[in-house]
Amino acid sequence: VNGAAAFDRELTLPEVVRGLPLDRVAAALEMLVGAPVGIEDPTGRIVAGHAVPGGQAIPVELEIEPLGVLRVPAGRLQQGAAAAVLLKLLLHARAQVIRAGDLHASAMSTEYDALRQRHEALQQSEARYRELVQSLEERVRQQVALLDERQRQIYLAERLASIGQLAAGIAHEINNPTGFILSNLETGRRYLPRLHEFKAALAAGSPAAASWQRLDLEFIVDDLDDLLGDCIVGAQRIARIVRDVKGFSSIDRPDPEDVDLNAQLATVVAIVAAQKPAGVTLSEHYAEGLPRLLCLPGHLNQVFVNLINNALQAVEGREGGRVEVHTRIEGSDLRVDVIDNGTGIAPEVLPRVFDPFFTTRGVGRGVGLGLTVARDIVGAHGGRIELRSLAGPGTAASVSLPLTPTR
Amino acid sequence: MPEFDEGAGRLSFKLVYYGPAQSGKTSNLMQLHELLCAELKGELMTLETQSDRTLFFDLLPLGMRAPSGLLVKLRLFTVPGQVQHDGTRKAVLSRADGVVFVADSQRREASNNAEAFQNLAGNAARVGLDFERLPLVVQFNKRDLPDIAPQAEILARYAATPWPVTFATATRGEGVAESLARLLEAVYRRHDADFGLGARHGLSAEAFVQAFVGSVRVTM
Repeated sequence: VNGAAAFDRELTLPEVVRGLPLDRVAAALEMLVGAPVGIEDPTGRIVAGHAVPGGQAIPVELEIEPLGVLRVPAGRLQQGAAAAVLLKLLLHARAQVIRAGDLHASAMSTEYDALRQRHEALQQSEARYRELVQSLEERVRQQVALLDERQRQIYLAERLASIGQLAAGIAHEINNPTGFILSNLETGRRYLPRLHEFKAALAAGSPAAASWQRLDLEFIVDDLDDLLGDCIVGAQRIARIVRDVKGFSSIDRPDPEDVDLNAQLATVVAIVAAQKPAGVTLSEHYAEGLPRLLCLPGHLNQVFVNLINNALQAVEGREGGRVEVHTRIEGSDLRVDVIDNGTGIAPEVLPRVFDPFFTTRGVGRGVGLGLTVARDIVGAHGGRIELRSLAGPGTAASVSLPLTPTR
Repeated sequence: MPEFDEGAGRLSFKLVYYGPAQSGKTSNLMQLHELLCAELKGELMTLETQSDRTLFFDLLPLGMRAPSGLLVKLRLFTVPGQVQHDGTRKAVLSRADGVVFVADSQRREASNNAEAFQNLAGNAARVGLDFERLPLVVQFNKRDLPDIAPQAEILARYAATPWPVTFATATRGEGVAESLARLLEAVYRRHDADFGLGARHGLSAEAFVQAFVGSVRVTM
């Protein structure tokens, strides 16, 4: 069964007497017999005691097999037989201990093997559980990150919604007065030719003509035309800005829509350009024939506002500051690049720009969510956003949006 | 397989008394030691603990001479019946040439009998014995106790199996020699051809059985 000696093997005399104080056994037997005796194995070799020439051999058996002989002097046969019985019982007891010990060893080793196998099985099972625990931690980490992202999106959506509501409300309120102001201004301007007709009708040298001359109405009528014209242009600008703000916020359009990305960007640029620092050139380079993109335009607008604002801040106060907005098709993606020739991004800062609440701006100038939110929104559209410092001074921000979103 | 030592002129069979705890395996051996008048009968080696439970094994060696001079030796072993000594049971069972399964006739022991029999079949496979061909006798012991399964019921249950069933009251020596006789018949059948017991050694089945157990009165 295993490496241990078989407990039921045939035992030999040397095996049985191993460990026995044979000298003392032989001495005791000699005292009983009253003469020298010899314990011999079946081949006649003396194992203990003395050579007994001409002595009588009394067989000593173990388990019905001859194990050896006890040789006693011929005249001591009766005492010798008694001594042989004692020796036989001693060896029998000895054999019993050997067999029990061997059986015990064999059983232990069998049980040990079984235990070891079970232990190995347990260890494997433990390893599986440990792996499970580890992957569980990883999954929890991913879930937490996802929850964080969702939370930021909710924050952004709420912010967009409140801005949108405010903008829509203001736009509505401004729109009405702007409408009648514009209408009245144009009506007023149409009245001006009548003043010219009135002047032509005045007789030269009449008191009325003298008054016209004295009050310099000739100049006033001309200037009024200019003033009204300027006012009309101003009111038209107000009306256009209001329209852009409404389009930008998309508060009334929460579902994905098919849009022309170029048009969206043009709206965004129109709004952002109002706050652009003096001396900065903001140029638009749109690819023609851009396919329409299914997206959340209000959310994507927020991304572009954030990127263009960043670019404008990077070139603020620089001679020849320049910000370019590009669109193009790249494989199955629409790509938007916002490129500036500003301060660029320090290498140690670059890996952290998308981290939530990371900002290089002073207190009150940004909470550090602009790019985080931009990345989340682009991610929600299945796209990628990337910032890199350019070889010359400046930064390029690229947004790739798949035409067929993956999620 | 039996151990055949050609030089020593000895053929040795290992027979094992198997069964649930305290079904009377050691009692079988003690009675055989008393009853049998085999040509050669060794000391009974027994390792009972104070609570009458076998811790390791019991061993009763018996021997006879075939007409050819061959020494035919039987070594009867018992296993410890208690469940926890399974490692010891396996070691004792290995290399067995025949088994007497000692069952307890009391009705409340039925499930212990079944469990021990399953354990025998399982361990036989584990130590490499061909259980289908292993000579086996089933002994229902303790026939003197109340609330025992009736003989007819037991015989009906075992009618479909290849194993002889015997009934015994080992404490009184009843049925123990017969159980051994039935096992020896099976052992002879199994190994006669392999070792030329009849042909080469002039040993018939009857002579083989009788040499150990004398003329057994069959009590069924």
